[in-house]
Amino acid sequence: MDTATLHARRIEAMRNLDDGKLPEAETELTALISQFEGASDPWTIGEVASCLQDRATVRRFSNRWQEALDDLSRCERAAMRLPPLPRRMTLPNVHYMRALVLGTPYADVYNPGDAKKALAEFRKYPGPAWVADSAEADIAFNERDWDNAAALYLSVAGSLERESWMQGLAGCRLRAGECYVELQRWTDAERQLNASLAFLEKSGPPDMMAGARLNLARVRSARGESDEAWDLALSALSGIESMVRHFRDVNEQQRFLANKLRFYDRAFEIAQTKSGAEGTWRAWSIAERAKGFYLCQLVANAEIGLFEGIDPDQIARLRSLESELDETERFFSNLSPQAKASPQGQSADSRITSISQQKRDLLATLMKQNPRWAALKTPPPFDIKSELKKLNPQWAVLSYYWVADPNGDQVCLHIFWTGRDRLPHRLAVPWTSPELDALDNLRSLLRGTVSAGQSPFPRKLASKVLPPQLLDSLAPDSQLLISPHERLKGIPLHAIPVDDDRRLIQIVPVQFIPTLTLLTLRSNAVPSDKILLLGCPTNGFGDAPLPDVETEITSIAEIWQAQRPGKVESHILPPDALLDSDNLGLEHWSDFGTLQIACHGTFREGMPFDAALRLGSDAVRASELFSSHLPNARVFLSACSLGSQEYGSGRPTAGDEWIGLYLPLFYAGAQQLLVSLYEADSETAMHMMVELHAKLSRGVPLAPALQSGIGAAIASVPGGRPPALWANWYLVGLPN
Amino acid sequence: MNQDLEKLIEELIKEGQVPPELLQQIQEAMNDPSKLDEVLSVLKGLGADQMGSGPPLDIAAYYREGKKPYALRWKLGAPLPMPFEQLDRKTQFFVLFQEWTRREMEGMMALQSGRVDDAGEIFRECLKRAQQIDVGELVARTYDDLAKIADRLGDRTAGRDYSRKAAEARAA
Repeated sequence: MDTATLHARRIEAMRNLDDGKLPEAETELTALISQFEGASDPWTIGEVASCLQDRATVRRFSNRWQEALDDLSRCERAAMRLPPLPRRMTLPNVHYMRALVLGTPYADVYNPGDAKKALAEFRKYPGPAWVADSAEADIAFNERDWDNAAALYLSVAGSLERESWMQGLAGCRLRAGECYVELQRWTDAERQLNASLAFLEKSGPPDMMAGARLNLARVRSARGESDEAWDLALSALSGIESMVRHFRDVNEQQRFLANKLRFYDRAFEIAQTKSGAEGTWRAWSIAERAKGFYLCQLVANAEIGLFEGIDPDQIARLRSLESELDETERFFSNLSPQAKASPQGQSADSRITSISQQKRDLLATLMKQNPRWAALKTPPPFDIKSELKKLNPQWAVLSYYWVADPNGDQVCLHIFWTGRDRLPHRLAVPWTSPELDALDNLRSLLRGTVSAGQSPFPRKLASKVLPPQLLDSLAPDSQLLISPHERLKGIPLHAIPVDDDRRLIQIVPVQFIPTLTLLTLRSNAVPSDKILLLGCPTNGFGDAPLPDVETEITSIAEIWQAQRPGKVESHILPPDALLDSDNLGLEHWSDFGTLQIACHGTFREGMPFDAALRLGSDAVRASELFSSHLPNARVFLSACSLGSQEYGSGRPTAGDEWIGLYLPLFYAGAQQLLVSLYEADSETAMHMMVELHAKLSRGVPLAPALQSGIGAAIASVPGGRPPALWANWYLVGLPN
Repeated sequence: MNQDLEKLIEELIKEGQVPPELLQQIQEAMNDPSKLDEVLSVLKGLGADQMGSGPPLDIAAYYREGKKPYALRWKLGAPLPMPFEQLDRKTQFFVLFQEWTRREMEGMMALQSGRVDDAGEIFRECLKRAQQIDVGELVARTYDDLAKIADRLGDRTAGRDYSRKAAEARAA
């Protein structure tokens, strides 16, 4: 490739950026950098430096801050190999970009001191005054110094207009307009935003266009024009969501989303300006759109195989890493506690983390390489009223949405619900910091080993999440579908105390759903009537034996065989079993509509896609389930902790994704999952599962069957079983 | 090297922009072989040859023999020692090639100083100049320049179109 072609491809990559296709832009720039970084002729070095600077821009917009800084350092090193003039043209840009990255308050590398140093370096180079003003404007904007920022942006806009930098001009007017919105100078805001939008609607980029529409929506909303504001807010959201869909790797998507969630919060505010039921429906629909975005994207594209069109060598590499991880885990698990703490054990432990990271990186690469993965279809538009009307009237629906003010000083839980009449109700409940801390503390307590005496939900917080009006509206045959959000996701809300003696699930069957937007993706296909039961009381990983597994599987097999003779396949696996050798691999699972798997489960923090079912000497991992097919299946995982999710720093991830087994299993086609949020009590599990299957086999729907199962488990010991022993069982999925 | 030129080059390094006086001196040097080598070697050492629209071109490599002389369709930037029509065909080609270089540089300066309309007009003229002497690389570079204008105006469709034409011209 000659320098001209290299240049042309770099320019095209940046046009992709302007079209909102950030991953495509990054992929192309990465390919160019990899191919040419070692070049020695100055023209190519100059182009590589530009590629690195451009990739830093893409990564900055993708909220991958450290990687952006790394690229800038590499760019600087490349520039130092250039002759004085081109070096002089490159270095100020590096300092300027560095100042932008380090000076962004929501960046994970935010360092205002270093940002100022970078800006001082930038200022050593003379150049057009508007470039420095632009940096000043950004700083003022980040410091919420709205008057100053607006004046600076407009000054820069004048210079840009004179030099015909039209996109930059539109960007400055947009920022100035946003400053005026914050200052409540509506007429000034409207003038700038309209001028910006006139350009952006023709030329984009989509994120700026969405920003202009959202701010214009705020202006309309302030003027009481709620319908016009709503239309603009919806356009803004669609614009942002179309960009988000370009990210096919969930981690990258979440990072990109991190500073876009304000679009949902603003749209949510605007929705509420409409009075009556319509305002509630609007606000509720935004709340649901803010959850499980990637999950819906995956499920909408469920017919596209992960490995479709992927280099076989890459697939072989993934398989090799999976085997290596299994082997290392088996080795580590079989060590004595003392050996685990020894250098040899620590080395194996580090190796597990390292292999897992390599696997995760490779999986992300495969997802990005497959041109159709999570990309072919857009989920259908979400009309919440219509979707809820289609639900069986027995389902009462309860939904949560957290909104924090921009300073994080006040946090409010918005609760939506609807009963048999399908009229929407809403309540906004402010939470204090100690209450939030209590909830966050609960989340960390309900992981791994949980003592039987642990309360699964504090009584003092019960009224903050369960409105009495909702409980009063429930009929005897009601079932409750709960769409949690952020801090309430993965919390056993079915175990909320409703009175002195009972928990929520004891008065109404409960099922969770990641987001009600999933309702648009319900399948009408009839599931297979075949049942697969797999149990592994003792595995090859050295885990403690599970004495109740065999009874559980045998009992459930008897139950189903009585109802569906010839349709039940049941296996108790020995420690040395290998699923593929025994023809019990994932391909085989696709023949079944009901799958019950009782074994040890593992969920290691930081490795959510390596959460595993330990069956014999095999570990069936979440990552492997991405390539499985479980059409319309109900999956019951009678195993520890497989309902855990990744929470990173202890807080939920951006975009409110269900990172763990949920993503691959729903993508594989499963409709409902029953999982354990933390380490399960084997005996409780056995009682609960047996009763659940007994009810299911007699045609009882899943949520009431689980309610019966938990009831049976509670009643199986005199005086009742403590809630912590059964509250871990978490039913998630589409209502049937 | 004379002191004025040294100063101008220092200014170029400091400001990152080509001072008009330097441009003029370079243009004058183009007509004075005794100065040209000196100026070019200094500028090349600074990397000025990397500030344009692509690596320097070896003009002779682009000349193709033919019988029909070239027509002088645009006014020359500097007078020739003899009428253009009296030059042999190869020298005419060299003159027209250099004239493309001069005009393209003027276009780039117009673009850098924000005179986008002027730049567009010059580049469209450069395209005709490049087509006249049938040098694919010059055609391609001119399309690259037009793409820069389109991108600055936010017209990515036109930008992509020009880039595609540039690639086609290079491949031809």
